[in-house]
Amino acid sequence: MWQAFRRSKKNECSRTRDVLSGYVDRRLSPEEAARVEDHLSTCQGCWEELESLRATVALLRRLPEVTPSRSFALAPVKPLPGRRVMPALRLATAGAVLLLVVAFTVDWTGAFEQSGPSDVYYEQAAAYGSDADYWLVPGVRNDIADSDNVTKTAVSLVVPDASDNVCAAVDSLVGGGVVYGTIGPSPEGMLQLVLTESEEGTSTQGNVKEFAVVSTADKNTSPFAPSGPEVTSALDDIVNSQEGEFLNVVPANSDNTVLYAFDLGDSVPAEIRLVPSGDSGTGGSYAVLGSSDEDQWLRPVEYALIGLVAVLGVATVALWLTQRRARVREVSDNKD
Amino acid sequence: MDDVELIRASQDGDLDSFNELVRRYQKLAYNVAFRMLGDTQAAEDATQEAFFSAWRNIGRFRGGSFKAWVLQITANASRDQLRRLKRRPVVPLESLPYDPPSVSTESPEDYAIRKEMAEHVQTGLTTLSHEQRVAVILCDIQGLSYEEVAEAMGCSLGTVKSRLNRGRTHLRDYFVKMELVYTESRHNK
Repeated sequence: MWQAFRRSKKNECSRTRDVLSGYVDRRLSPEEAARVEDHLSTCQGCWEELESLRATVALLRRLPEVTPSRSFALAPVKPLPGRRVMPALRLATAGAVLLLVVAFTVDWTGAFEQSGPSDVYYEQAAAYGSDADYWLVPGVRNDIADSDNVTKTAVSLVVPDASDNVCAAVDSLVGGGVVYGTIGPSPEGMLQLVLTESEEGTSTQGNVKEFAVVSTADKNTSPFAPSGPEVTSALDDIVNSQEGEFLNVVPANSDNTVLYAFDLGDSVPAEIRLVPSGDSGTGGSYAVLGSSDEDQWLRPVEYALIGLVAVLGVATVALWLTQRRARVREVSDNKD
Repeated sequence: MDDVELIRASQDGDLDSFNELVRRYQKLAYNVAFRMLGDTQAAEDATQEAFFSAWRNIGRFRGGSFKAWVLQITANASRDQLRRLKRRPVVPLESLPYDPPSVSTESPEDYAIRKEMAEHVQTGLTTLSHEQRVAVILCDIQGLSYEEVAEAMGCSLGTVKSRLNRGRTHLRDYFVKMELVYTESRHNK
């Protein structure tokens, strides 16, 4: 019986201690509070437990209030200047740089330049017909700098002399020589070039010009040298010896091809009327080759792109600096 | 303007109204954070983070006690801050400086005793689990009602009672060990 009493008292102690905290705060129901008080009056251990809990709570309540050293109010976040523009600007700069790289690559590798006669031009030539008195030759702008670095603007005609069917004046001079020609307006108002083998054979109207025909085999030979075609001189000399309308005669890249060039100033006709005149036969088909000069459009594009990249780059850097300054200012504001 | 109006304006994006709420509750929030962490710098960081978080989530506040809501966010921010400190401890928690505001009327001896006592109490708090610590701090140090504590902790009244009971008992044992609280029988053992 004594044991039963002790067990029940122990249970009562444990039950009391579970709610002592609530009793300290007066958060027990009247019945619960009465039972706790009833038990406390007979149990020294639980009474001490209560007192120590009260002391603990009192200690906690005595803790001083602390004061923060600053306010926690939020500062309005200023949007960074140019926040929306920046990604577009970066994208545009990247795009322009990429285009510029492509343009440079195309320029340096000469991807668009035609290095020699192509089938396309032969086909074009066929369209001119074999029985015509003259041929319309596509003109291609060609700028050549002389020794004084003065750029002469010319139109180049690439004329193959691969067969006897090429115009007589050219045909008879395979391997090098001089062709005479007259440059003047054609009846249709086009630029007309009349080629002959000899100076005597040319028309007296217009200016008679000497055109050298040089093949690759003797590209270092100047047909204008005083001692004759055997004298070796650099091709550059030929270019440099030209004055006025007469520009140059330079070899193309096969020994069957010659290239005529005429100084035309600023006017660059799309086609030139080519009239063969001479003793040899003038019939037969005529093949006309042109050197494609597509990279001509590339330069202005390159310059425009360089300018664009520079402008965009400067704008990007300026904006970045502005934003950085704004950020630094914001951080220091927050520190304050 | 009462809290409800300020909260509504804040929910419409008015930062000035929200800052008025900050001014009303920042001392309370800071005190809770300080008792949770025991370090002024960490408490400031946690409090600031709590108000940032409150501003971000003000739209989700669906009535009730704003005070309880802010304290809940503060308790969470303090726990996060504690985790960060444990990962990258800057100063060991035991040696954190504590400098309660001095009251001119007390003697230097009294001040020293009180300061030491406060340090012990603060250390005792750090021995509690997060839930017990929040309950004790809100109820016994900040004097919130059981109902407010329950709302701030998102739990039932019964849970608050049991957390308080266990937290206080645990603290009492610690205080007895540190001889801040005496019990006759334990003292006589």
